[in-house]
Amino acid sequence: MKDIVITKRRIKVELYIFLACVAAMELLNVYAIVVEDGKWSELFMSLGYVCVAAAVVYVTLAVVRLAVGLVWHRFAKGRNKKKAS
Amino acid sequence: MEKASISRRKFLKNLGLAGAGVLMASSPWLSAFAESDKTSRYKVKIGIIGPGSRGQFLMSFLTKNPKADIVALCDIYQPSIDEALKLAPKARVYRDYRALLDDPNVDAVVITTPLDRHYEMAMAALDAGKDLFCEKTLCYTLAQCYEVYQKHISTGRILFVGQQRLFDPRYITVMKMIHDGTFGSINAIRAYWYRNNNWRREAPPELDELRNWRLYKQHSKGLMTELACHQLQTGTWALRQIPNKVMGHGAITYWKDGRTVYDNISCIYVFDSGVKMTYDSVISNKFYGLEEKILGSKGTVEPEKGKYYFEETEPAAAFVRLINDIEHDIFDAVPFAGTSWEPESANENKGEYILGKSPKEDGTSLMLEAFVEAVISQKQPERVTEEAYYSSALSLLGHQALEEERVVTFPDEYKLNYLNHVHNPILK
Repeated sequence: MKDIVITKRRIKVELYIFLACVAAMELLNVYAIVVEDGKWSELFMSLGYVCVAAAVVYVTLAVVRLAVGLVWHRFAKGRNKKKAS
Repeated sequence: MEKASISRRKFLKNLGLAGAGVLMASSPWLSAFAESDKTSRYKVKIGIIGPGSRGQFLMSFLTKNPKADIVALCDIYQPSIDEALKLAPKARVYRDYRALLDDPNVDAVVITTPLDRHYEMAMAALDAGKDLFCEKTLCYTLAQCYEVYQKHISTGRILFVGQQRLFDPRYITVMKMIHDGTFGSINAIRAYWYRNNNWRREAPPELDELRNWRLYKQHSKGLMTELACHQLQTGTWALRQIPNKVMGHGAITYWKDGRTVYDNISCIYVFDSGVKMTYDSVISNKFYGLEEKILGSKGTVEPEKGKYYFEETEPAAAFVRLINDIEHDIFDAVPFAGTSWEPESANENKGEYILGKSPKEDGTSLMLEAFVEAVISQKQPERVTEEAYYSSALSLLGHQALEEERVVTFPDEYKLNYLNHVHNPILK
């Protein structure tokens, strides 16, 4: 069985992506507080919701990235085969 | 509002401290406890007339009260005497209540007999100079209730009626909130008591009427006097008004077993302001249990459950609302009319406990303590008898409305000078 190696770089990239999701959701939280006339304390009080929403966005992105990666991998493989023949 | 759990002792202690003045404005009968610290060396000698199941229940509290001593029992049903003697083994036993009333060793009597016997026993007890605790309903007819009330006034003896909600910490606390306007304007009260049993006790045929007196019109007025009496009082307490009209209907729809009292009743009490209090009782379904829903413009109270609910609850976090708005924008169908046609769905907020936790006891224990304190201090607590008089009167008038199938108006001659009522002796 082949070992799957997760590189340090990959972990770093994933972490950055997740943090970006959290930041985006917190920005959405700021927008929500302004639009929905909420309290500014919700910036911290709603961190739980923000993290859950960030996780949902991160997982959604991961699925999209995986799908794109697979398609790209297949396309690249086909091109290499053509070149070799 | 402090929502800490309040034990019976702590509640009494609070009455003596900061809470006393505040709560007494809403529940003035709590003055019965004003001198409770100074009465510990006194003992009230009590006689129980009719120590059946309810009588024994009351005895179970009195025997725990160091200021009370049950010295006499009276019943014609030997099994009741035998059971009662287990609670008060030293008590003298009488077969005739008049002999018990002649006993100079008895300071006060508790009457827990069938309803139709209350009047003669209560009048005799007050005439004999005994202080009196009478189980609700006070009497079988409104005229009898009025006479007993007048006898209590003329003799100056203490009179309590078994309206334990008046001493229930949940009710006392929430009534204060209601009177302070916490729940806005109270415009409706929906009281009900549902059970699913035949209300019948095992008894040989010759003792059926004696044991099952609640089921026969000649002894009781059924659901109105045995159940409604407690709950109607909640309405007058909350609104600080007495309703002047009642209409309703009663029938035997399920328990067609020879009983003569209704097993299915529905009444509407109308206050002068137009506010209504409805009362329903059915004893062939218990799903909803019992409750008095007090509906205010800002909130709802369910004192039996020990909870209240505000109409407007704290909104969800802005972030959640925004997500919900987005979700609704994407998935909801576009309405082609305004939203006024949409039905109001029931509010599902979980509410708050009045005393910070689920209720565990009613006010029976405190009510009996208050009675004992009143007998020792010889001070009739303010309004306690008037509240009880009107709860009896309203249940009897409700029964009259069921029987006669008409709108019954409160008779002027039986009004007391109390709240919105003015007694008119000329009409009597």
